[in-house]
Amino acid sequence: MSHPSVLRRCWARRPGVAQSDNVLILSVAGPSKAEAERRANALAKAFLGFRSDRLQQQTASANKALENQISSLEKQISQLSASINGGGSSSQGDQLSTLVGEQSSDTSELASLEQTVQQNQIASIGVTRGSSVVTPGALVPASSAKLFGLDGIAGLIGGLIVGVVYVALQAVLSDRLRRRDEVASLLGAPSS
Amino acid sequence: MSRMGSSALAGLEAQAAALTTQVNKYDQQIQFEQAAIQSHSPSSPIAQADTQLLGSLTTAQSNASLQLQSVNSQIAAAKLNNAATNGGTEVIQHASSATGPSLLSQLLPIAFGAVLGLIVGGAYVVIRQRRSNLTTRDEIAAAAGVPVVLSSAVERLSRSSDWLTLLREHAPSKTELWNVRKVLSYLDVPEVGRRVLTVITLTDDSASMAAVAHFAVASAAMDIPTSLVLTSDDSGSRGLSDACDLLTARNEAARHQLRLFKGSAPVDETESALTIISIVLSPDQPKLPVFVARGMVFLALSAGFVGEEQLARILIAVGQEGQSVEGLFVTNPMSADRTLGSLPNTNEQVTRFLQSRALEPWTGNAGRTVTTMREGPALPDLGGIANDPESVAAPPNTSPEGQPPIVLVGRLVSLRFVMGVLRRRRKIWLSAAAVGLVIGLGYHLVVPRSYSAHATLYLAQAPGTDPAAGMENDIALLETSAVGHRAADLLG
Repeated sequence: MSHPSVLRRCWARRPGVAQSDNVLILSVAGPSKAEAERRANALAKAFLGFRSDRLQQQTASANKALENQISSLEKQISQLSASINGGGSSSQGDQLSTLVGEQSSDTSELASLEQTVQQNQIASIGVTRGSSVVTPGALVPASSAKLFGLDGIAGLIGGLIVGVVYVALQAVLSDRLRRRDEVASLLGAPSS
Repeated sequence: MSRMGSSALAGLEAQAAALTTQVNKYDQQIQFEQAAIQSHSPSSPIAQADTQLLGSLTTAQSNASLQLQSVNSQIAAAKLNNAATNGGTEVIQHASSATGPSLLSQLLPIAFGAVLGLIVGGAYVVIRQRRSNLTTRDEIAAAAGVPVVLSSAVERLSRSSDWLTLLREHAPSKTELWNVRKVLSYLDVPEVGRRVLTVITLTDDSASMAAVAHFAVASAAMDIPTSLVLTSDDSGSRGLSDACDLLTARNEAARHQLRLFKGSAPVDETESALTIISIVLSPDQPKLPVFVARGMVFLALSAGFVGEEQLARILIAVGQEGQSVEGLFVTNPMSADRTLGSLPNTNEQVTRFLQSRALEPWTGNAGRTVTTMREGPALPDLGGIANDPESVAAPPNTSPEGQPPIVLVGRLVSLRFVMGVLRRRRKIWLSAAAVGLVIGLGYHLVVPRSYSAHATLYLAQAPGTDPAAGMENDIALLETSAVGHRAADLLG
């Protein structure tokens, strides 16, 4: 039963039904009550795990790019610091002022990027920990006697329909003479 | 990375490169001017001009540097955006082998077409049924007040060659011969002379004319010398009239024992045991040429050809000439017409007669004998049944003018009929219902029952995203094989 293709047959073509923007209901079938519940729980756990992994992977990718940019900015700031510290002549005062301005801008951008990284991580954790199983796998309530009775009624109605249709069709399509007036008419009985 | 994003990034990078080159040039120029200023006396006009130029260059370099910084920031933002967009993108589930549309979706248009056809066909039948024309044998018989004595299905003939083929080559079936024999047994037999009957058909009702021709052919096929006299000429019988002309010109009989005549030929001239006189009347302005009509008069008409009003008009026209229609030939009845075309009292007689048979078992010679022929002298060559007074005991209520035999062609399926059949054959469908009950009760002993379990999940969505879109995305993820694999792994 562990093969996914076999397992896929256990739930419907669309196993999940959205109750709201945040609530999802999973429906899973099984040969016994316990197995159906076990499968429902397994599917819920697998889905939440998969979703969490996807989200973390996405956050990690974004943060990686941000960190590359952060390290680049850090290098740039270091170079600017070195340039600022190396200059001393009064004739380069304007240039020094430009370098200081650049360093300040880079530092500000660096702080912004670091904040973005933190926000991404917080959002990822919030989504992952905020998603959970509200109601574990539970059977759809139905009594065995009721199901047994429904099966019987369904069979009874089905048999009734088949029988009635068979008799009606045979009567309509058959050319056999069944009624006395048919036989009498064919034989011309009333003329005697 | 999207195509649009990459092109924008390339543009920004080119702009950054140009600005970098510009800044470097300014830098070189500034260094050159600084050297020039130092080589001259600070109070010299050249040094003053160079100092002014150096200031301009420094300002320009500063502006270019700021512009370069802005472009670099844009490049970094674009790269970050691309990384965020594409970083989490990968193929979760590879494409499976393509499959065609499901059987259900293929059959759906067919089923839809069938249902549509059923509705259209049903509507057509209902509308046709509602037409005022008389379609069933019972309707026609009730409107005319006389029973249907012959009911037959014939093909429509138009060309004279078709009529000739019918007259010369048609081999009547046993049923057809039997039906004609029953009608002949119904005829009055004059003490002197031969049997004569007049059949009235209606203008343009070529099928009924063909039925008359069939009747004559069947009579001839029974070795009865038969003459068919055509007294009218209309579009429906023109082909037969032409065929008659052809045969007359050749001085030929249509077939053995069958001759055709045109005009109002005296019956004695035909020299036949049976003479059928055909008269065509217009259903709208009927006028019977009384000097032509002889013997018993029958009316032949196709099912649904006339309405009650027209039929009454024809019967009145016949009655005004001192004649009366004794019976009806119904041509091409509907296949669903199960009625007999007999009058109600006839049905009652039949039922009473047959019920009496059921109550009184047959006791050999003392029992009743059912005869199919009308009482009266029978033609030996017809093989008619001569009633033997010693062996035949007719029912007391049966009049000598009892109704003629009716031929069943087709059935009219009414709800009453179906209900009657269902009542009579209830054992079959009750048995089927019982079998269905047993199958239903025992079904899950063979096929394991499937239990369904539900689980409810709360899914938080990332801030800044559309929750509805996020939920759709989650449902799509749930249906991937990747989730299926994980669930399978968890189940072991």
